[in-house]
This record gives sequence, C-alpha cells and structure tokens, in this order.
Amino acid sequence: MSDATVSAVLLTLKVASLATLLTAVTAIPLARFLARRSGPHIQLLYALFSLPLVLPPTAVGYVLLQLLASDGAAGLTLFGLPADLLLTWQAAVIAAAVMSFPLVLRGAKATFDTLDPRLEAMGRSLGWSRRRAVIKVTLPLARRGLLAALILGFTRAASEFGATITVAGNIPFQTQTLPSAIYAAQQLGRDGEAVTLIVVALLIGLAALLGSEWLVWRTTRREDKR
Amino acid sequence: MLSFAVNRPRRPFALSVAAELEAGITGICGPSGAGKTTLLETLAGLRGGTDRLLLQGRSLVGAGDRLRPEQREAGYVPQDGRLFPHLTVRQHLAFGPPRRRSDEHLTNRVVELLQLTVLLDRYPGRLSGGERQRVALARALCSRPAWLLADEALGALEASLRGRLWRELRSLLVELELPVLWVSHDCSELQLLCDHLLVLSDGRLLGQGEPLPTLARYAGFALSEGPDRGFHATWPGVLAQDAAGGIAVDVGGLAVQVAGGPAGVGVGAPVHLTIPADAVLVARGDPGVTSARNVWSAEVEALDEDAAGTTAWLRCGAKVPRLAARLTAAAVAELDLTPGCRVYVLVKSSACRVLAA
Repeated sequence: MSDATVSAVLLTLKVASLATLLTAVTAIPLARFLARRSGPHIQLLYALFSLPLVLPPTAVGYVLLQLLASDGAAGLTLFGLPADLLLTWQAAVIAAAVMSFPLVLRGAKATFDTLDPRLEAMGRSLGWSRRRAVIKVTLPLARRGLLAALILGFTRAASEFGATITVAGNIPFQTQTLPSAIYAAQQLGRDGEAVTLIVVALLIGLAALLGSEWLVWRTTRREDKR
Repeated sequence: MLSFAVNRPRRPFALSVAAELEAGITGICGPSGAGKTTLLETLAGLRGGTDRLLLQGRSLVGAGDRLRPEQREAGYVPQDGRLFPHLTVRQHLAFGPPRRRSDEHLTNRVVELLQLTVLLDRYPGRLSGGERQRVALARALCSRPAWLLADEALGALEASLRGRLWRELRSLLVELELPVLWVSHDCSELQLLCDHLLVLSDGRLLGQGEPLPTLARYAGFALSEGPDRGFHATWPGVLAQDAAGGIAVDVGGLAVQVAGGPAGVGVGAPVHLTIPADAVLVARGDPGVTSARNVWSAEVEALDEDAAGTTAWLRCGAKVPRLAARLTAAAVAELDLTPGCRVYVLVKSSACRVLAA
C-alpha cells in the first residue's frame, strides 16, 4: 500500500471515530428526549433530525458548505471554531457526523421506545437524580441497542462520500478519506489501487459488523443467564 | 405524622383524597380502579397532583415546596415489583446512593425475614412473581426510607408464606417507626398488619377508621370477590388437638374445631384463624345437637348497620377477640338482637381457615 493509501485509511478511522463520538453525545440524549414524549411537535422534530437520511449527501454537503465557510450564513467563527473549516479534516468529521446522526438517532430511539420509563422513575424514587437514574438504569438496559446504533453510525461515517468531498475536498494526506481515495483512483485509472482500497474498506466494514454481532451475541448470552 | 391532599381532576386517573394520619401502619383498600396505586405513585412524586404533603412535620409538598421523587425519601413498593432486569437481588438491596443504603444489620434482617438468602445472586428474570415482590419490598426497606408506600406488596405470595410474614413484618415496621401506607385486598393482612384503614372508591375517600369495623362496614366495596376474599375476622391462635383427636385452634382458651391445619405446621405452632362473617350463624336459644362443630355461647357486643345488612360483634370469651357475623335486617329483627343479649354462635369447622403464623 502507498503512503497515500495508508494515510487515507488512518484518516478514515479517525474521522469515523470522532464523528461517532460526536453523534453519541448528541443523538443519544436527543433520542431519549424524543422517546419520552409524544405529540405532533415531537414527530416533526424527529422528522427534521432524520432529514440527512433522505436528502442527497451532496445537498447536505451544500448546506454544510454554507455553514462552515468563514463568510457562511451561520458564521461558525462565533463558536470559537477556526475561521474557515472548509477543506480540513475537521470538516470531514462534521460531514460524517451529520450524515450518520439520523441512523444513530433512530436506532437509539427505537431502543428507548422499548424500555419501561417507570424503571427510570423507580431509580429516582430510590434516591438517584434524574441524570444518575439514566446512567444507573436506562443506559445499562439500552446498552445493546445503543451499541448496535453506534456501530451502524460508525460504518456510515467511514463510508461517507458525498457530503465529505463537498466540504473537505479530496486532498491526499490532508482530507482524503477511503471513499474519496477510491473515487480518485478510479478517476485516474489506477485500478489496482482502487481494488486495494475497496478491499480495505470492505475489511473495515466487515470488522465493524462482526464486532457488532459479537457484542450483541455476548450481551444476549449474558442476559440469557439472567 | 403524615398529612396529604391529592387532587388529580383528569380522568382516567381522577383522584381527590386528603387525610391526616397518626403514626403507624395505615392500610388502604378499595375496588380495582379506586385510585389506590395512583395515590401511592402521586405521593411518591412519580405523578403530579399532590397539593400538600407533610411528613413528620416536614413539608415535602406545599406552598413553595415541591420536592422531587429522589428528595421525598419514600420507600415505594410497586405492585409489579418493578425490578431492574440488569441487577441481581444483592445489587437491588444496595441500589440507592450511599445516603440511602441501610446498614448491614438491617439488610441481613430484611434478607432473613423475607427469605431472600438463596436468591441474592439471581437476576429478576429467574424469580417467580412472589419472589420479585419480596425483593421489591426488601429493596424499599433497605433504602433507608423516611416512609413506606407499599402497593399489594405481598399480593403474589403464597398464602402460607404471607401468613408467616405478617407478624414479623409488622414488628419490623413498628421498630423502624416508619409511617406506612399499605395497599391490600387481603382482609386478614389489613387486620393483622394495620393500625388504621382508609377505604377508597372511585378516586375518593369513602371511609376510614380501625381496620376490623371499617372492613366490616365497607367489605362490599373494599375487598375483592372470590374465596378467602370476603370479610372475615382473623384471630391469632395456637394449633391444638381436641379430645377426639381432631384438629383445633386454641384462641384465648376457646377451642375452635377446624377441618385441617396448614401443611408442615405441627401442634403447638402459632397460626392465624379466619372465620368468614357470612359463615357465622346466630341462634337465640340453645340449638341442641347440630352438624356445626363449633357451638359457643356469646354476648352481642354491638350491632353495626350498613346499606347491605348488619354486622353483629360477638364476644365468645374474655380472652377471645371479637367475632363478626353478617346478618340480614330481617334476621336481626326476628332474633330481637340488642347489644348485651346472649346468643349461641354456630360455625362449621370447614368454614374456618388456618394459616401458618
């Protein structure tokens, strides 16, 4: 494998990991919030947060392009971020996080929907604050579903292309991830490199899926003993 | 000691109940849908609707106060146990934050009382309904509660085990000096465990008072239908053998013939004897030879009339607790019953039920 290929693989793992972390801390609390409430406004919120799932990735990329540019509509410099995130690996993280967010959100909400909210209330009645009751009761019970949702989110983030290439570009050693490296190799007619990259992508995806299956199997076996 | 006002106007859980309770164990009974569970969950802070809640002089809910569930220090025992599937029984008993965990002595005592020793390392999925209820009660008792709210906490237990628990559980609750609200449909349990009784119906307080007379008055509303569920007097006694070799229960010197004793309980063991009020016959003169195995002379102590008939309170001996007989108004008139008059009481041995104590 060339240095550029190794760099693309490492950057993909870094981007996907950070994007998964970002979605974990945002999508999971939001999923719990949505699962505990009902009504048209909640359904509307749920639909809005799920939009990246149904929009073309390039459309999401375009919106992000407007937001992340230093002269963009949202002016992200206000939040203390670098003046211009475009064409940086951080932009790739944000794009991957936005694209995988709905998958994690939907998986986590489906998990929380199956839990009896009275158990969390019971935890509070026994002396734990709302936050601690979530940590002591809800999260351990939701562990398996949340794990599956996060692994799905990770694989989605690792394979993200459309939005990522729009905001982060395809600069070798800087912003080139596996999917964009495959695209570049194919465009330049380097079929051998493309096949190598595809095999690596396949191995990463397979490892994530098998890891997910193994974790689910282990948790199921432990729960069956209960 | 415990004062509350709960007002939930919205159906299907409409509830409007207020009470001022003294120290001790207060039983709550009423038909399904009366609001018993809603009342406990509201007081525990798991539902809104508490207007006032004063515990041992401390305001938990009132003008300017509205403590969250975790601040109310309630030991809540839900009817379904509501155990955490990911924790063992041992972990349940030490679930709360450090300030809410009981000392080792109390935990061991609760474990022994509720017979949980062999269950400590099991998960809820491996427990029967009765075992789950015992764990839920133990979890509440081990959470150092300032008060206890128990919803049918022994409802799924076998009758034999329930009978064995009442006396010791009561002594533990009295020793802990906990104000207790104890929901139950079991007539014996309410008599033996509680100092005071509230009767709910359709989200309102129908009546309250001492358990035995209150149960007699509201039995039709308060207790579930079915065998062993109607109103009956429950007497503590000792299993004995009569002269003919039959089984009897000695209650304050009165030998009550019974059809049989509980399994595994020998002569001399303490038991609870229940005599359904509907199964007690009253005769004005000596009935002579009858098929009833129990015929006693008694004095009518009081007559309580209610919408469905009359409860005659009968004294069969100086050391024998009062016996209740449910009579129709016509029977009371025909027998010319008045407080203080002498009667004969007839009870079939097969109508008497014996539970291990």
